[in-house]
Amino acid sequence: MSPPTPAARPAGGAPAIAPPAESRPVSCHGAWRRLRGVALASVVPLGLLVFWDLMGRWTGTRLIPPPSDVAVTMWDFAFGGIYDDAFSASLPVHFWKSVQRVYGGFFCAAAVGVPLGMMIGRLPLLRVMLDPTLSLLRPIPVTAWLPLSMIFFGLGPKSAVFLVFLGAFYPILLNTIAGVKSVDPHLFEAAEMLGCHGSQLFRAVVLPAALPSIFTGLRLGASFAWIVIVVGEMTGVPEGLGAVIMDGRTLSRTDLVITGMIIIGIAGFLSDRILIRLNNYFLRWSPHHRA
Amino acid sequence: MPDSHASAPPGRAPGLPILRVAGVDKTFHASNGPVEALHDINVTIEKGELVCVLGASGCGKSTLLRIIAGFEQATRGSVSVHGIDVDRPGPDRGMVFQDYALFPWLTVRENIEFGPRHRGVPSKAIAQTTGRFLAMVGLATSADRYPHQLSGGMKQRVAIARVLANDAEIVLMDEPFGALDALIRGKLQEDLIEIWQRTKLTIIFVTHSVEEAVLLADQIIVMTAGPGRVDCQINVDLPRPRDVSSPEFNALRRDVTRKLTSHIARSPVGDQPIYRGMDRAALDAAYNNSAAVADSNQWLDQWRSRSDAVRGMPGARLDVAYGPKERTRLDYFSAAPPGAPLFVFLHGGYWQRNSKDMFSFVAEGPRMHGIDVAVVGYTLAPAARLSEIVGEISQALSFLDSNASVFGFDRGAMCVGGWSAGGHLAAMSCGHPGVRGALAISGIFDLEPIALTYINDQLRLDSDEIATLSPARLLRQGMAPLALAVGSDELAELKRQSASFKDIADTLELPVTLQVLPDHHHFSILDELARADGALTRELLRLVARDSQDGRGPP
Repeated sequence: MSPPTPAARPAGGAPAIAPPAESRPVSCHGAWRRLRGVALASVVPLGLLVFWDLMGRWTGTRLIPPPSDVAVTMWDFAFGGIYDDAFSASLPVHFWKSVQRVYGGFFCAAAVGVPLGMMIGRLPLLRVMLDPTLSLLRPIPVTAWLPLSMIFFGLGPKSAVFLVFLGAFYPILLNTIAGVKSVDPHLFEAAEMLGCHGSQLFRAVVLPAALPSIFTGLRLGASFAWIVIVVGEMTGVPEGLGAVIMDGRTLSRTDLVITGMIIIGIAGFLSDRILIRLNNYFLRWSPHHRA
Repeated sequence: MPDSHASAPPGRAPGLPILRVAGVDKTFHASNGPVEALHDINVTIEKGELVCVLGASGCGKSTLLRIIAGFEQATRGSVSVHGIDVDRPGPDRGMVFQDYALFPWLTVRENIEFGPRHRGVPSKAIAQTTGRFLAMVGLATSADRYPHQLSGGMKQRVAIARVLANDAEIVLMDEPFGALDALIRGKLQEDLIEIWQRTKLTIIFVTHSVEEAVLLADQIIVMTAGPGRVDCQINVDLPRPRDVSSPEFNALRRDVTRKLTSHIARSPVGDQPIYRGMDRAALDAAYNNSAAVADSNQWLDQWRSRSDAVRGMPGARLDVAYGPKERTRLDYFSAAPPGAPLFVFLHGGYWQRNSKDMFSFVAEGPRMHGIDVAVVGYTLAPAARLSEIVGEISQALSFLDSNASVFGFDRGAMCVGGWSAGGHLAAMSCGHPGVRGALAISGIFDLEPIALTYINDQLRLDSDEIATLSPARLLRQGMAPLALAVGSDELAELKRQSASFKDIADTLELPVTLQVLPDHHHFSILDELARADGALTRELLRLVARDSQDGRGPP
């Protein structure tokens, strides 16, 4: 094989390689696709509703209310005007209290977990010091902390926030550590040779390079936060979605329990959508990490 | 261009070279002991030079570049820029990596701005510099794209612009175009030369491509492996722009290629970093093949009966001490007529307590043809290290050579043969002045893989011995003809070693032949030598033939 002669090489200009086109979906086509997606996604929930209703009728159980009763309770819970009891139109209060606790605990977990994870991932000394302790504490279920957190923080919302913090902390921390450890070492070398040293590296390289993993951790952490909130609100708090479920159980109001469950599900879903939006914005440089 | 590139910045001593690498050694500590990657590297580079560091994979050229960049510390010696020692990365030495190492979360423009921003350059100046270098590398229209939206060639342009914008005085490039296709590579090479001519930068460019080095460089530093050292520096004074189809270019290219391949051949394991991918268990399995061991016991019974028969011949065997130690003795089997050729046999398995007595049967075949045979014993590992064993063999050969008249053999017709690890010793003996030819049967020629196996518990080979005691390193013009023989059922690893050893010798046009004997394995192949009509005996006859045309040296 003879080497390419200078004449054979393309003359001037950048190599003729087109960038991947920014694909803006054609609006009509896009709307149809979105509609189709929503329709397909609704098949299973609607089927479950029908199944629930049929099973209720078939068994004749009075322990589980039919979907229609739950829908009425949900309406009353949100807007009132039907039963006019202690729970009517109280959704905003309960929801707001739960959101405060979930995000309070979640933000605390992120505020501690992300920086700590970056340092553990980057500083071997810290890793050696903290890794065994963290591994020891991690398998303890959040519910097992309940009695202790009641002693630490008393009965009330602080205890719930603490449990949410615990639930969200580990996924955030571990994913951050994994993200930092997997950063291409050449990126650190490139940054250092460009004059970026020491602690500057954390902001300039470690954080952005580990961001995909950190977002995975945040999404996991947020979903754990919504799981833990019910446990957190069992402990003598008067308001909150978890408290509503516990009250419903005490009063044998199964419709209320199911209403609380559905609302927590929806809230968790919406909070994940928000994180996905943030993920897609901050990771727009990486097509692999679009969620 | 900023003036800093055109003239030496103030405050720096004039007359000093821009870069000096003085006496740099680098030793890595691997799990099986220290590995010397670089040995006594001395390089001086003047301002504005484009220097290519050329060498085969594993010769340490990238390690050298990383030491200059400050990513690695030299074990000994120093690197200085303008006479000031450097031991950590700095903006004066910008690195262009083969895998680009762009920050994927930053756009092209932000990647180029990264260095100046972190050094606190005012925003206005940054914008100006960035704009200029974007234009210089032809990426002005792609400034706001992310790296994942760029082709490999474009990414490498960004990486180059990134170090240029950071006021690097020395640009270090580690096989920067290695991952690109030929067309893009050609274009980037042209652009690099143009940028270099415009900016008067100093560029150190690591490559394994001779053509790339001859095309780009003012000066080529040829490195050789095991451990890595600078072999020679070649000034390239071809006029620019260089024409890769011109006779001058191709003459120089051939010249450099020849220099390079000779170094590949002389490095202990060729240029194959083949063992780095193999795990210890696989290598142990390759050498400690259980089927072969079972064969070995069977075969040992066979030779015992044979050697008794040989010993039964009256007056045939002489047990002589050639050195002061217990095992430095040899058995001399005399064929009747004085003035016969001599075949010196070196046994293998020196870490398995083998002795010369086990191998006396090999004398049978050659003696039928009137060839004297000396079976040499030597101190075994771990009592002796390989370097001592090689010394003892040399002592035995000298002893025989100088006492030729006492033993009554023809001094000009002494051949050495060895089996297994003895094949290694025989190949090492090719340069001995008294040796006319050598036969390496099922030989081991690479020490590096041996050093990774259980065998090294006995041998205790270190990196120095691996480097100096490998036969490939001793191959040179004027060596005695060497015949390699392996059985067709030999262990794959040993077959490979013989074949690659032969390849290296072919590259150097040295008198080495290789024959594969059908239906023989590691242990049975020696029977071939003990037979009067065996292929190995015929080979031996060819080597010792006094009237043969191919005596010592190349034809």
